[in-house]
Amino acid sequence: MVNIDRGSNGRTPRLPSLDLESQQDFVRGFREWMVTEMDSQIRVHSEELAAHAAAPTGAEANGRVDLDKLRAAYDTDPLIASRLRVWITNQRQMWTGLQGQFSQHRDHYREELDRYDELGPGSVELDPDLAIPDYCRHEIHIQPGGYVGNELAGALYHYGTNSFYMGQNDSDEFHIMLARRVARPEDGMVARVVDLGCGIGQLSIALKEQFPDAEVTGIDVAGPMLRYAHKRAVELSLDVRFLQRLAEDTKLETGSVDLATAFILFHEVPTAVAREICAEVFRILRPGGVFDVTDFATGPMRSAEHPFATYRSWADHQYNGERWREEFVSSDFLAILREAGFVAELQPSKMAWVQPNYVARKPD
Amino acid sequence: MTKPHTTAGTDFIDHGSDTYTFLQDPVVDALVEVVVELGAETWITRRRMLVLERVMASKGLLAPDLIETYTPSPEDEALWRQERDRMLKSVYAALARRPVRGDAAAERAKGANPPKRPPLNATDLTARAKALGPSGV
Ligand SMILES: C[S@@+](CC[C@H](N)C(=O)[O-])C[C@H]1O[C@@H](n2cnc3c(N)ncnc32)[C@H](O)[C@@H]1O
Repeated sequence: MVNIDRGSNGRTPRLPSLDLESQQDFVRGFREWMVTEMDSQIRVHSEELAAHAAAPTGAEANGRVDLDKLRAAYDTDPLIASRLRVWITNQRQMWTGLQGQFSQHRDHYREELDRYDELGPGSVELDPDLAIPDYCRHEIHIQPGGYVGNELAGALYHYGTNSFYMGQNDSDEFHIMLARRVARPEDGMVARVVDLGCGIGQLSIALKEQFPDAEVTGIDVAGPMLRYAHKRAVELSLDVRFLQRLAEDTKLETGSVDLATAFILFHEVPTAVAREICAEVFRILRPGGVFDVTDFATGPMRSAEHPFATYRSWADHQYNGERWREEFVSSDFLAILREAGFVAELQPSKMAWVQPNYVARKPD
Repeated sequence: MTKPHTTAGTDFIDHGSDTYTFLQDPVVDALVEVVVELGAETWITRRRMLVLERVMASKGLLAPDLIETYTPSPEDEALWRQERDRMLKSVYAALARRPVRGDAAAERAKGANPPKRPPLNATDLTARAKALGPSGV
């Protein structure tokens, strides 16, 4: 058996082989080339195409860009079609490489997860009987098996998203920054924190580091993600509780939580479920408690969007398995938070590359 | 062989991204995939060579002659053949798939009864490819 322990980069163990590491390095490099070199051409080109389209594209009366017009101008354009082609190819290449190698060492990873399930600090509570809703079972961003249908989903997600973070999140730097700048209740009391859609627990872990005396709970529908999250927390000696539950049905006590977070969860659920989650968070928060959400811009906020960004967002939905993204960005998430009873406002993004920060407070 | 964990391996809804066609002709899509795969293979090799040269030089082992005049053993040959075949499979996979128009494939995955695939955990990609059958559906 080859030695698959190759040391680590920051908090992230190096990939199990030199070839896979090099393949992923190529994927990352290609991606950088695509979004810089290729997209700098496409920016100009797509503006010209939009301007020449029969009816001009751009912000419509309702604040949303007319996608049909954009599609008519872009779908068959060779440069844009090539951009979609190489993007999906790059995406598939990333997952195929990771899935191929990780599944070769399946027994090793299985044993490791089995062992860590029983270790502390912290815990992982799995629910094999949880009825997993259909909307959670898509292969979002074409990750093989999605979050729930692949026992190695945690590792896959970790290394796959590292490629999106372009190597700048090896020690959870983004999540640590989010935790540092997280909105707090006005009275400053933070004893119970809940991180919804916690995935592999990078934000939950960072929140525990930020609020060492608080009880931190990570909730996710996906067992494989939570097991990996727990393993990481154990390795970092952090006492975090991970629960396999639905964000819309946390089973936590009413009024028991001071701070709730959701990082890039909402664009992956249908709007009807987003409403349910907001109602559930409103229920579990105590008066004065805060819900801090980071996700894509929605509704009226998008009127200033570049037409190619609008098209790319749709393409992400259409081709990259982001089943609910288009529905989410077409909704008005701030209004949804307010309908749930929150006093909600937008804060400038905490992150350079994504999306606004929705801060919602439960009135006293 | 250990058993998969009970909380994994629930059915998932397959997105079928291997069937997309964006360009005028599905063959052109396949060719682009091939070219990108080749790029990866080239970089993987180059990066290994860079590591190799560093390691050998640091041990005082690297004399260009040693490399040029090396004669492979039968075991070497067998292993390298395997490596070569793995590379061929990876680079040319796209040429061997039957395409479905991207739109049609993506719409199908969203339908009322989207295609479901068996759990991935019990299989590997080769098994999955077999399960897909020749039509990719
Ligand atoms: C894009 S990931 C984000 C993970 C994590 N917050 C991070 O920083 O990477 C979305 C996560 O939400 C989970 N999820 C989706 N719908 C959910 C629901 N209704 N309840 C709980 N978790 C859900 C998925 O399993 C996945 O792990």
